[in-house]
Amino acid sequence: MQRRPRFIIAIAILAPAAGANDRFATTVRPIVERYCFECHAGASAKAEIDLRRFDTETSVRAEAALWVEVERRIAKSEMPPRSHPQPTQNERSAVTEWIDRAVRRDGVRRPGRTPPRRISHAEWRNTVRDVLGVKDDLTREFPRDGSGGSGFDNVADTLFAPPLLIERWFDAAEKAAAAAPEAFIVGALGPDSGADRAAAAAAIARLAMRLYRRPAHAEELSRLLSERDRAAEQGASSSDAIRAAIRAMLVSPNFLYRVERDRPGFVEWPIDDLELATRLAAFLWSSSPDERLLELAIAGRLTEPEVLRAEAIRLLDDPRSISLAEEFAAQWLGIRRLIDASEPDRGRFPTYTGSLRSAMIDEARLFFDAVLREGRPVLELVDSTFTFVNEELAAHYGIAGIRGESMRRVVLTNPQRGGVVTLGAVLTLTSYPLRTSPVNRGRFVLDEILDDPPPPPPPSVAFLPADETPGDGLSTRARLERHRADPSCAGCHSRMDPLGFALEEFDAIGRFRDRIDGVLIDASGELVSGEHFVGAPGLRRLLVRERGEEFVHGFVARLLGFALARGLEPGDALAVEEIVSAAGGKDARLRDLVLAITESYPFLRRGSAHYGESP
Amino acid sequence: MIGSSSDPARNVVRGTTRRDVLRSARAIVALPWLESLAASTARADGVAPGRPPLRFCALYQPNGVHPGEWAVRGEGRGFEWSNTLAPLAPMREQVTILSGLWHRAAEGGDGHYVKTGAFLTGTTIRKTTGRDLDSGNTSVDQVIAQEIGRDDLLPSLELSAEPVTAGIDRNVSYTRLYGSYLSWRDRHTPCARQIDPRSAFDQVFRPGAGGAPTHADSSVLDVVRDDAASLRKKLGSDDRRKLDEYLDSIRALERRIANEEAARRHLESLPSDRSAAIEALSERLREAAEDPERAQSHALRVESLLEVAALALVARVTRVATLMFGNAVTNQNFSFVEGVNGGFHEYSHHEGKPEKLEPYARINRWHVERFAGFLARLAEFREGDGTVLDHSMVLFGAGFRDGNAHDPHDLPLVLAGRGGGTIATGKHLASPRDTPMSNLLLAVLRRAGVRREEFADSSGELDLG
Repeated sequence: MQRRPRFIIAIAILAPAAGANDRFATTVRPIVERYCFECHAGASAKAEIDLRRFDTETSVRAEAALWVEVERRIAKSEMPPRSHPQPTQNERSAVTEWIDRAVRRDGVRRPGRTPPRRISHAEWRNTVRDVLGVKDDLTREFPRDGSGGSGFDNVADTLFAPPLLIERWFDAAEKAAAAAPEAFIVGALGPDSGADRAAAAAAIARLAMRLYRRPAHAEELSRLLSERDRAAEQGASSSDAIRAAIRAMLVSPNFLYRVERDRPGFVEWPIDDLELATRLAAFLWSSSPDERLLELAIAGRLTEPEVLRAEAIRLLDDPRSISLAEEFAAQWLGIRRLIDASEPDRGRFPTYTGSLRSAMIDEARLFFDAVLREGRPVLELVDSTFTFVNEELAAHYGIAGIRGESMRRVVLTNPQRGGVVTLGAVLTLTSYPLRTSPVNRGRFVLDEILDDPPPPPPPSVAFLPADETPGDGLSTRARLERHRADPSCAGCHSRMDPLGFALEEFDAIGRFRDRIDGVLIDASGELVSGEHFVGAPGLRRLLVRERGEEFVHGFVARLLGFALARGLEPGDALAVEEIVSAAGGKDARLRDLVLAITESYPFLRRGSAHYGESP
Repeated sequence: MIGSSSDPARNVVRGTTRRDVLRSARAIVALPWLESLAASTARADGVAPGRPPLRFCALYQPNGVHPGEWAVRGEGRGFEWSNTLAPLAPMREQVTILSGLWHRAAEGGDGHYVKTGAFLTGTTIRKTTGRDLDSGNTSVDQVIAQEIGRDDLLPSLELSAEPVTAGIDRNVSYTRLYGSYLSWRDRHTPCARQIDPRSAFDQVFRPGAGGAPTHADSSVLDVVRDDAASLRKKLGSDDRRKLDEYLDSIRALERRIANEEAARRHLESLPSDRSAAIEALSERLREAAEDPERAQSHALRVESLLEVAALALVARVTRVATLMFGNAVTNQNFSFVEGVNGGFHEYSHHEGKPEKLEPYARINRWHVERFAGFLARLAEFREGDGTVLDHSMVLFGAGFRDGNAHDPHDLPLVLAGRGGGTIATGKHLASPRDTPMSNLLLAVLRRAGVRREEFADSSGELDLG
């Protein structure tokens, strides 16, 4: 049952002193001891989860994430395993209700700390586009960043500034300054421009405000102005001299680092208007605030709830919010792996071309964007009746009557496809070069849809043959079923494999098929909890009807992690619940969830330290 | 490329000339070992050569090896080649086959990330999806770069055939970036790797071209430094680390600017065999870039990166290089190798089945062939009283042995090169089981000129003599 807890960092919080009043010690621990210690105690505890270490409420709260997980497993009757003595219903609820109250709800709502953060490559690119009108992607040669937190490349902890990137920044700054259309420079200079130094100073101040996401200080401006003067002295035109200052801004740490103010002596506080403007633009546009946002922030109005709501709506309605599909959704679904890592065998799959792959990536982006922009229920991400294709992708999917290279929306009449799980991109990136992987696909569903990632495989885990129909005639399904007969494998594979079997009617590059080598595919499966389903339509129906809540919670946790650009902590657990319920529960529209995040407790606040680091 | 651009707008933007830049750099760093290159090659006839610098290069193969096919038979000089290592036969007198070494720090954890992180650090990575990212140690290559190679044209070169793996591994609670780095500048900061051979080539051989710092003039650097200083004052001590990293990198950039003219002179005055090889590589890379199919080819990318690394060491642009053939857990499709029809990671979980072990061993052998080719390349260039390979230490290996078991004992390792005459090569050096690999890394460090008594969990210096 080892599994990465839903929230990453264990924390210590204010808690009453242990003693006779410690409800954990008196009531909860005896039950845990009776039913859990057989496997989960001591140095050889299963999955390295040793519950015997905990003897007070304080000790439990210090590792809240683990106990949130314990609560979940007990509540869902996944633990103790069925082969072991089961607690009574009363015992079960005594434990889960106590954990829920003590660990999830009571006093653990704390905004996290956000350290100075290097801007992401997407933020660099989009800001330069928005402020300077540079359309080319100058970040292509930047060294790739890894991911952190909830799995995104905008997390302070995993963003670095190695010498190689510094060089690329300088290079790109020069290119961007040179490539900015004259109209942008003249626009910044204002109506009564000319070679006037005062006009130049004003233009630089305007541009610095955009690029630094705040009004620049006097000494910062004077440095920039001297860059401008230096170029002017060497004979540059007034607009080219501005470009020299722009170049300096683009390599300044004031542009490259996002810094939120500390408040010595406070534990937590609301962020200020400018910080909020920056968070909003980073979340909804992967860019920097525009002039209107900055004006409202400087006037101190952005933190007014109705203004905030109106601005969040304005940003969402703007085409630039496509960044949520391009950055958040693409990283959530792991689309980049389609380019980097998964490489279907070209000999076996000659129709898998570069252009088909591009169409698959476009499909994922356009589909997510449509659900967001059209105010559709978030559950349509799991099951929908439309998608986007061009001629090549339509042919791949067996959809007739689509011509041309451009992507367009189609209604799906065949119930097989719909939602993120049956996107060509997802079906391909969960496959191996020569075959599908029900295990990978099942894991994808568990992890990304059910928010229930399986524990790590044992070190000597077996793999199936590379090909779908090896010499001995056993199907992939038969092999996996045999594998599950091994009790040490069954625990996890009985959760993953059946989900993947439902998707076996799609081959390793996402084409529909009903048989493998002439043998009809058995696409039936069942959840650990017993519900049966058949094929992708059955799986999706079940996911939406029976597991909608799990999906929405897990999805919101990811989205919140992206919005906050940090990993979630136990102090965010309540916020996730509040966001979901503010937006309408599992039937919420995706758009309303995004808006609810912009109004959520951790989005509007900042804390002085990570939980548990200092009281 | 911008550096050679004559676009007037850019020159205006730049606002300064290169002479300004060079003047501003307070002192041009002396590059003593560069200047001796011409002399030492000219004296290949054996007349009192200057002592060439010792190079260190690590080549990392992900996903472990087929243990039975890897192990050589016999110890000492009389060992017999195994199937996987047989491609090294022509280099027999230049290699030391190592067995019995391990990283205690790589035990447990997970199957891959912990093993990759420990390879050159000897320490255990912190289990995290991001916060307080920590490899535990500066990697051995970076220790050399920082203590000995600081004033080289490039202190170190980091290459990889695959981009940094995106995402976090929710199964094991590690960020996947741990599996994408061998080199750590300090315990919290991985070194960016070049994955594009052309960019890497430019970085090494075209000082002042695209991205390189010719156009980073002094006044902009002043603005940047002043901005950073004001910003730094506002931050708490924890938060300053991020900004200090930025400032360190700015200083590295300044050093490159200061070195640029010297670098140009150095590259222009290389012996003709070196400059011809560099020119030929440049031409090959240009041709490859024009053919999208070839640009996608893993094999070609690996070979190009190896050649960049080899020539960077040969031409003394750097003395330290690391190269990852792939990231941890890579499932690179190796169907381009005869007898292989699938992904590397799948085969590595071979379950003892011949139909998987055979292709697994073939993939291992493919890597060893590339390694052998790399050694042969270094050996082609005369230097001092021998070849560049004689003045090198090239470590090839994986972070665990059997891919089916992710077994961190008895790591598959080969050290090539005579280390400037300090390594008695041509043998199988079998150490007692579970001798720290850190003993090997310490031996490397000390030969490279770093005065250390220990490294990570070392219990002494491995006797390579």
